[in-house]
Amino acid sequence: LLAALSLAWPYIAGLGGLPALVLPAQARRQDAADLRLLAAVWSFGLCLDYALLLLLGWLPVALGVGAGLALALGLAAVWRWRHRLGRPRSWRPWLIAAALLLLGTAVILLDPLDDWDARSIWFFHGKMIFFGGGLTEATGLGLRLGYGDHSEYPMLVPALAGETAFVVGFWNEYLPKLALALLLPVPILAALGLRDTPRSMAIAIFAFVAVPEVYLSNGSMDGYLAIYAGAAALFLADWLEGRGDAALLAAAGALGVVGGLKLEGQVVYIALGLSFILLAALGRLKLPRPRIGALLLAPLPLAGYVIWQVLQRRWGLPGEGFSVIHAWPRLGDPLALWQIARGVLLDERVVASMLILVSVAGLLRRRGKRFSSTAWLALLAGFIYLLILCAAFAMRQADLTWQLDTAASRVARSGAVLLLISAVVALRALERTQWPRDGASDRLQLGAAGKLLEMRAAELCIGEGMGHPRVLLGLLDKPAAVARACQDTEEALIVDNAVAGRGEQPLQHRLREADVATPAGRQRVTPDILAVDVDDALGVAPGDLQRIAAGKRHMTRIEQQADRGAAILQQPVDVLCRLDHGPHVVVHGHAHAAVEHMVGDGGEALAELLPLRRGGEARPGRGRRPDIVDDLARRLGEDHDRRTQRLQEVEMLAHGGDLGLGVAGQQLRAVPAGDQRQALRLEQGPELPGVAREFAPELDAAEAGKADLGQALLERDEVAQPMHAVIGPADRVDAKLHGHVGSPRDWSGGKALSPAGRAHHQRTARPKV
Amino acid sequence: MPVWQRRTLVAAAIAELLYIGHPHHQWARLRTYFGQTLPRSLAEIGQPRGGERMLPLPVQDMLTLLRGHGVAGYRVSPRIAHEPLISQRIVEGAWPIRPDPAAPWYLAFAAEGLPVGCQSLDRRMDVVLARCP
Repeated sequence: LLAALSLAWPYIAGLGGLPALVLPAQARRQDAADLRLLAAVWSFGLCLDYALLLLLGWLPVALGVGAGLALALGLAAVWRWRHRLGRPRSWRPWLIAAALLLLGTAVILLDPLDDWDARSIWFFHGKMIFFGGGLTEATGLGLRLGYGDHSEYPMLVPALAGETAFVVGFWNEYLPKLALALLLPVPILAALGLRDTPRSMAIAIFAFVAVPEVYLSNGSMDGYLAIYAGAAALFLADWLEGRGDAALLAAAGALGVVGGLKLEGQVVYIALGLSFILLAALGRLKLPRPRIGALLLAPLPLAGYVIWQVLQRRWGLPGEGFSVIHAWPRLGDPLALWQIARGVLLDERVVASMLILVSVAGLLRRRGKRFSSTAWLALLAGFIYLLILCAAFAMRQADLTWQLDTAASRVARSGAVLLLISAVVALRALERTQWPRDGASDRLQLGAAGKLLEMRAAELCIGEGMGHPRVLLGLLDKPAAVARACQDTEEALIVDNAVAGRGEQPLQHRLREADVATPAGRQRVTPDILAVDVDDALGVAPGDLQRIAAGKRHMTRIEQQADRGAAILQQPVDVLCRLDHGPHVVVHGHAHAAVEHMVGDGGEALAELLPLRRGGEARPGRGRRPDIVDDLARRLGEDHDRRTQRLQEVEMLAHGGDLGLGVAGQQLRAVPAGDQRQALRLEQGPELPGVAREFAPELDAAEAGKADLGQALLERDEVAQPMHAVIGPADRVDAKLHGHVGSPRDWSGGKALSPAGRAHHQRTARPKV
Repeated sequence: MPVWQRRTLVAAAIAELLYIGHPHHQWARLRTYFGQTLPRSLAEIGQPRGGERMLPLPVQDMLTLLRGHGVAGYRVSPRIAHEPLISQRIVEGAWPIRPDPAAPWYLAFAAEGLPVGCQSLDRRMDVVLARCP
């Protein structure tokens, strides 16, 4: 029994493999896009199963062909996406999805069929299909059995119920409800796709859980019609916002399911279609151009709906009995109109949805935003749906009061969900554009202490030397927190091009490239720091090493110096300014940092072999232990001044006594050089012609994790997660001031300080670590 | 997940739980579900015809009578036919035993009189299965 029930999941997933075959298997996608693709796969599987049974008629044939197709398509899709089947970037969404699915399935299966419509329509039809061996003219539909078995209703869920009973081998009041559990993945995936915009996600969960309520588990289709209508609108909005063809196919699949659930699915089609046409006619919609494969595949989920329309007519199944004739008397009766309006438009769920929608609209207005066209799509569709529903109640022959009492509250839920999805789409646009900044502020306000403590805990492992006034260690001087934002696939950024080397104010690039926030606001954002926010640094597995590496690969360098005398004079000034301006930190990122950490001293040799290390300007290793300074220097170009670095190292050794026992020995090479004038050896003279320009900054990169601190002699890189923007070393490693307060230049009226003054400054100016 | 996001989600979840559970009887239903319904469901879920206890008692009796006599088609008395809950449930529950106006098997309440020529074959509680010419 369990095996039979378990087979249903790979069967549906395999049948829905077409979207995975048509869409390009990108090596690096974000989870949201993956979720949409999975939603497309699942809804396609449901629709294809439905179409197969309608086409082939007999259960054994349909299931046999379906199993073969599922195996072929599923294996092909798995092969095509094999490189994405490894460890997901984050387990959490998948675990949440699995837990919700398991919980939902248990709740559904352990509740026997009791609801009137569920027993009389959907699962009665499923029972007919099971005992009739298929869905044919002889199945028994259209016999007008009992009190209206609605034999013209779509058969997607009855087909699934009949197939489940066929596989299990018997019918009871529990197991065929697996058909409902098979409908759960798409709304779960749709809601999880919003997890980066939690406020929108909360509304979506409300729409998908609280609005359908008991209709998610009792076997009636109204709840699922509502959530699939909402999911279709959501995916459609995703596609219109340019989130890729997976969203288009997911929307098509959800619409296919909508058409297979209930007659009101046609109302959803009309509502979404009219809304779409209206907005397109007004020029409010920009239609993305889908791939030809996606375009050809998109109508496929509607095949079941079309085939069922044909079969209904061929088999002469009776219709619902709508007629305009019945509408005229009711349209002229104010009491009837009020009854309809109260039953449909003033339904408590519709009212609650309207209130939420109004709240979101007010919020948008307060923020100076408007409803996006994609939000209008769902909004108009919701209103059109409710209006058509009012008209439908007016046009039915049955007693109006009885109709409204028994049906209005159920069928109005789809309209309520569409309105809520409109709120979701509008709110998430706001969250994506405005709240990342606020969110980062909130996060920093709420968790700034924890975040900084977390970073400092790592720094403390470096050693007590970090507190010495002459030594600048670590990366915490003017920390720049990098917030995550716009994490959808299509908004993924090329980190290396994000901010690095572009501007002096990283915030200028916030909206376009990265979201940057600091604990104290903009005035603190003058960092020369390459901030790398690595979540779960220890969890960066070797499998992740091919991702985008952070930072710049090359140091700013000293151009050919033309004038030796100028160079000698210039050098201390540059050093002084560097100390004044705070640390110029460089994280030279590459994809194989962890490997190099693991292989220890051999990492240098290995690093030379790895692709990102073979830059045109990189020099070969020098046959000795790699350290940070050496690693930085190794990236110097042909014209870089190596001796400057050597001198600085010597200076640091000379100052080692000042640091005392508390200095971590392994940090010595990472410490920036002192700033005292030093005599240059004569043999350096020929190599120092020209004007000194910039110094190679030397600071070691802080590690977000602790495990590698013991190997600080090795080069220390940080592999950033792809969506973590990295603020590169500013291209202002020069002698100019950049707004830092209290530099020795300020104190000395812009003049370079005397050695005594600098010494005083070095003693009193405690580095901010 | 940042704290503020977590708080938002938790608040939303609580609000939705309150919304769902607002009518006080919902909690009573939950207690009944976990105390009675769930154990019975676990016992029945793997059984053929499991869950028929949800049907009205007269319908359960009718099903026992129809299955016990190997009936292929049946018709019901006018009184049963006028009770939607009974007539609809017997149609669904008895399937693939089909309702057939011309069938010789006749279901009626015990309190009802049988049509002329019909002979009561079996009785279960308040329900009678008769054979008519």
